Amino acid sequence: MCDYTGRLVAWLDREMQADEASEMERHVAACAECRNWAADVDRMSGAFEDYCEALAQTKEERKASRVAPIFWAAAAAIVLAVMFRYPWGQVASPMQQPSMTVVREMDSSPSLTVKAAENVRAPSKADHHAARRQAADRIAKGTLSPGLCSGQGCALRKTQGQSANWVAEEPAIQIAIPAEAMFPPGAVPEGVSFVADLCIGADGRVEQLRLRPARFERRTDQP
Amino acid sequence: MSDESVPLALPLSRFTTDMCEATNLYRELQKPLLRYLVCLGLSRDEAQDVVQDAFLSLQRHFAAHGSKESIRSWLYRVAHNQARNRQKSYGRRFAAPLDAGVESIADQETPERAVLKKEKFERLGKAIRLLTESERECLLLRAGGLRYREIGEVMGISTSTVGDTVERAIKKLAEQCNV
Repeated sequence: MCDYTGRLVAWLDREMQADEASEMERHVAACAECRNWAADVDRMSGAFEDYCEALAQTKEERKASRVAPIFWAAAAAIVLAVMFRYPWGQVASPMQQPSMTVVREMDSSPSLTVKAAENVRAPSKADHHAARRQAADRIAKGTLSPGLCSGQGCALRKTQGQSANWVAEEPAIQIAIPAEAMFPPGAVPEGVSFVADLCIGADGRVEQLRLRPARFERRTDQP
Repeated sequence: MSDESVPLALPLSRFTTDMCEATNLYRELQKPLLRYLVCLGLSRDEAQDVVQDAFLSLQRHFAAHGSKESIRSWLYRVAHNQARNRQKSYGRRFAAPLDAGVESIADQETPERAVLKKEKFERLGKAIRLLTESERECLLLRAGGLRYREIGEVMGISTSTVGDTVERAIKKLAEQCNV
């Protein structure tokens, strides 16, 4: 057995000093045993890397094959639930449904003033109940026919229309990252946060991330 | 919420540089790190969690003005320790490293080649199971592109020991696989 074979792997991995490496190179050029061993080491290293790669892929495929049936079953369950629960007969198609502006023009009741679009808020349950109660009262008094869209009866539709055009006042998802996770203590003044704007692609991956410093006003309407 | 910039104690330019560096490191090392952890015996989900935690630790490290020398081995060491901590806290063994058996043979392979490759992997798998834990980890880190010095830093052993361990491991594999 050649004395140099013990250092051959280190030489192949370029872990030797320059003078040692050149000596090794000269020796390998002259020694058939070392050349064969170098080829074996190279082959073994490649095979090991292939094995690791294949193993990582296998685990990924196993996970996908385990998750896929659950995903499709859940999707089917949601579709069925929506089909059975959604009141298809009561809802007009989007083409038939009057737009928000049309409804406002038709509205004859001065008491009902819809807030401007820039201040639209999500309709609450209480709004629905109040509108329904008032409409029912007016129908009972004979001042409003159920088929006509005017007065309070439109309030419900307005709020429904609003919900369709509802724009969140704040980002839908806020992820709070503590300042001390990113900065040394005291580096960031109190009340300063960073806002991360994420662009999420169709496949659910984050395509772009933009981090900008922002000052959050503490909300007074929350407990 | 306003877009106006606010005075920060930390210079924004330094912050941006650190962010860029962290992003580049993520691009470079995310895949090999994930592969290393999966081969170490973690499930893919667990490995992804560990990778995320490791890069979060990297952000904290940069924010605390930590050293940027040997950052690759630092990252591998964090991931390695986190994987071991999980193993301890769950009170169970992960799947034996590199022991899951390889079923994925590329579709474009001809049946003959696929069979040969499968046999080769089976032989190699048996040989790998005969290696010691440190031999396996040295080979895994070497396959991840780490230098001997970096492997030594991750595993807490000297560079010369890494060289000997790698040499010995490859010799064992070659003998077992009749190369």
